Amino acid sequence: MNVAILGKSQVNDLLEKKLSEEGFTPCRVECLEDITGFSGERLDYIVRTTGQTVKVGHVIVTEEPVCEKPFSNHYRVTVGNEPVVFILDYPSESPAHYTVDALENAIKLARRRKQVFYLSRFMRTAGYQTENLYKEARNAGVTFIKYLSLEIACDTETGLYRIMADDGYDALKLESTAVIKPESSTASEKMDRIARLLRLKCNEDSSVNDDRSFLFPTLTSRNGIYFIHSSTITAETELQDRIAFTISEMKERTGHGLADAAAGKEAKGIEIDAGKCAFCYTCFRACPHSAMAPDYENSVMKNLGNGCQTCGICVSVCPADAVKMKAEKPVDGVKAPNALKILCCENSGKAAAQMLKHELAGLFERIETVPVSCGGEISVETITADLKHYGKVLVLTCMDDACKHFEGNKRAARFVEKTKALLAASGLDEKRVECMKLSHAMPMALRDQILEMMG
Amino acid sequence: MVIHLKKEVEVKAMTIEKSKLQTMLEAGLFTVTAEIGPPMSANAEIVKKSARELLDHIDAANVTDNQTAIVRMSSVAACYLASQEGVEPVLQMTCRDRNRIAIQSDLLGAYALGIRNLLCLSGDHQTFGNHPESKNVYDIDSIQLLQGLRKMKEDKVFMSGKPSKLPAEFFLGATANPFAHPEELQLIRLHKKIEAGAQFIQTQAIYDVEQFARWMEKVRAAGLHKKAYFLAGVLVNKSLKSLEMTKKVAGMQVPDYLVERMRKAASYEEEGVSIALELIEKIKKIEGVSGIHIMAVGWESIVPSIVEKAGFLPRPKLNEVVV
Amino acid sequence: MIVAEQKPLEEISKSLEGFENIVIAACGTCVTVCMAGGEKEALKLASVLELNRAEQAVPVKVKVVTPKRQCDVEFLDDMAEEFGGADVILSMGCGAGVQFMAERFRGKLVLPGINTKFIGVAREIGVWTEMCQGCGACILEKTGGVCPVARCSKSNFNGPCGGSMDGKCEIDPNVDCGWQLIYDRLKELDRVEKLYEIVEPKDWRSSRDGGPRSVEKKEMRLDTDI
Repeated sequence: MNVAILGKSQVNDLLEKKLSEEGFTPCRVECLEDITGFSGERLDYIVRTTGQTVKVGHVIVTEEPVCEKPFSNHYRVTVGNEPVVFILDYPSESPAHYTVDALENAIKLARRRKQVFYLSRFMRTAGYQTENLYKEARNAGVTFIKYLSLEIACDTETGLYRIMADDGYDALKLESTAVIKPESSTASEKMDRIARLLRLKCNEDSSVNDDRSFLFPTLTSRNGIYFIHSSTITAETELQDRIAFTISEMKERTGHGLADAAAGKEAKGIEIDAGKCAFCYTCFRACPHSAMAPDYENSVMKNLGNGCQTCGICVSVCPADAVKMKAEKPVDGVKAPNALKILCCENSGKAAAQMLKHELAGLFERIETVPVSCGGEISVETITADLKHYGKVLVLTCMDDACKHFEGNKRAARFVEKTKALLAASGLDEKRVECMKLSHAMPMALRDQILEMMG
Repeated sequence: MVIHLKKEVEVKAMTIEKSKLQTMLEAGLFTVTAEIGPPMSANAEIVKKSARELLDHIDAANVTDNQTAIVRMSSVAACYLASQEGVEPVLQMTCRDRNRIAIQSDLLGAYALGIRNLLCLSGDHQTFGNHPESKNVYDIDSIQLLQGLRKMKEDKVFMSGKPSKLPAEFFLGATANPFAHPEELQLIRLHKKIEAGAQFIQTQAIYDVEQFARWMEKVRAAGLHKKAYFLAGVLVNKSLKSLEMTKKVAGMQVPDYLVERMRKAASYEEEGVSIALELIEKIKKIEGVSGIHIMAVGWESIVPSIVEKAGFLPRPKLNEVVV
Repeated sequence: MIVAEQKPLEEISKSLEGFENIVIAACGTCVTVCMAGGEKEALKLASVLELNRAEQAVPVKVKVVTPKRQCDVEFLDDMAEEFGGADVILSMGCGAGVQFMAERFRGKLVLPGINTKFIGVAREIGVWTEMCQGCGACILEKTGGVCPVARCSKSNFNGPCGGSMDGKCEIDPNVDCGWQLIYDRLKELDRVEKLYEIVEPKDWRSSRDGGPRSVEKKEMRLDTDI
């Protein structure tokens, strides 16, 4: 299967090597300007360049965001009472050392009782090094704002910036001469173009706001399209991890690995039991990807494979128990009254749990982790069924704004709440089920949660 | 044979007897009415005492029917007790608790006891009262009740169309809320109430006189003030809390400046009275208003002094009224 | 459709106390759609009951069956075998379903698992509202397609009561005033003048007040001698 690598990056060589090892055929397009067209649906894409047309199963974007020199080198704090404004106008993760530098400076200034605003287009998830910095910055009083649109006007005589940042709810107006931002915006433009081309941005009639898509290690809102940037990574081993994660995702999404796909085994998908379907339109209304449609001939709902991202929300909402996931979940076979089952969203909890497997090896003998496409796949019914076989159930979903399946995370949290209420009503310990919102980069928080639940 | 004839004559005399309220209104006299809230007990003395306090200060008193859906002494019984003390009652009858059988039966009884004025209401929903779990009846609505009772008078028939030799022939009243929206719909409803048989209209308590005056303009434009007598409701508040509570009631419109004025007052009671007096002074001058209906919920004892201060005394005696 | 709501778990558990072999009969039509008694709800209930009994170390066997409808006998016939070993049947059907099950399986105790609420519509996923009370004599032609019987708290036929405020009912600011809806609708249709007509008292015999009702469509009956 062909895999397109789009963009210029030092990751490309390593990536190409790893892909070849796993049986994929990499195709590099280093100059993004060469790309003239992109079409197709999941796992069946066509990339057109000035020279050729290639059919690919997956696309990995590796173009690096522009990286300015660190703040400390060109910025000295001489401000008076005006607010200090950091602007990180990147469409995806800001470069790691740049982020660290910005945060460290923001913390210093905030501790000197300056009013500090940290404006970014994209809320970078905390990495190993940055997790604490974000926390420190919040404690120091730095105001974080994630904006949708930004207007900056600068008076060249006085050097006064007038900034208006709109987050979709409110418009924040700031005036200051102490504005710290990358000098050029070419990186954003280049990245915006590729995002538009690959249709990763939200469009008006799309039901999903795609700007959440960059929140995951390498996944985007479109099935089979990934981002890998070396400059956004804080630890060296992380790059290896991300490549490995991406390749495992690619295999899983293709089916049970390439060999299975070759053998004609079905990929993950949704199936509907026509005998049970009440044709109630609940799945149709709930599907965040508009992938359900009425089949009038048979008076049942049908799944449109192309739009479907197998998030499983239709499975959890179906009142007739008629919608099911095709692919079976791997079962480790640790069912026991003292065992913990962790249902982890593959966009957040799965990676976080993976990182703990060595550290908590002893505990993991009593833990079964089951990846789900989205917290939205889980329902009260599935949780209560699991509780019959496991002492406790932990549901891991993405952070509030991070779900790419239209709040499957919040839905899961509500289902857990409802389950707790049912347990309490039937005289059982409601702590047998918990829900945690986290990002892939929060293994430490997950460790605490696991330790608490496992006693 | 002779005895029989005599009976017929007596019957006839009884049916044409008009209430004092009706007689006064028809004579073009400005009326003053108030309310008696029956007690949450079987204590007749409470009703009688209320009636005695009001005697000679008002022309008639409304006796409420399980107001705000709280169980109280039957309004028919309380009306009778009031009339024994010399106060002419206006019987209130809601559609909430009785089906058309019970309503007609109670009204026959009330009429037999000499009660002549009737105010037809839909009634506060039972969820507001002290038996929110009860079944609501609402077999008929207040307009259907008015229509039925008008037919009873005109055609001597029950609501079923079956004749009655001596049905109840009440002076029929209905309520109107000048502040409810949408205005057009509320006016349609007022039209219907009058068409259905309402001879007098008692309004919701008025605080916003300007708004009420605009509403009366519309009433006059439609000629409704010629078809029914409008009795304007005025509520007397004893405290800031009572005024604030009133403001919260659905269908009430209390301007903020009145609340503010009450808040700043040295004595809530005095301020409450002076607000009521000012309202009465303005309202009574509005063309088409035929009377004032004073509501002093929980403060009935203040009514005589309000009537006096408003210059409504002495009230005319029935035999003084020239038709 | 019929809209229902599952009974509180405590009530269900209590009613099932002392029974070991429990069959939960979901219903695949109305109550599935309103998420009160479909297969998903039944499975959930089964799991919770099992968990509860396990905690108390009381043995239980819970089976879930889902006829397409509990209100047609053939669907119940198909299920007859499933009920064989049952000590008790918990029907998740509407009131009609529970009673029909009880009629069909005379020897079995059939308990209700849901409270039947009203005839209504799905406003959005998870929200249903009452639209019809089944009064048996529809007057929607007079009221712009909004029912005053079901949607006015006092079933007023001639307009709103004085408690209608800003389009909301006096009993609850979250409840629309049915008469406001009627007015708005007739306004849209330019038929407000229809409201001047006094609607006569209703003949409630067509409703439940006339006793248990039945409907007969004679030409459809199989016994042509009737």
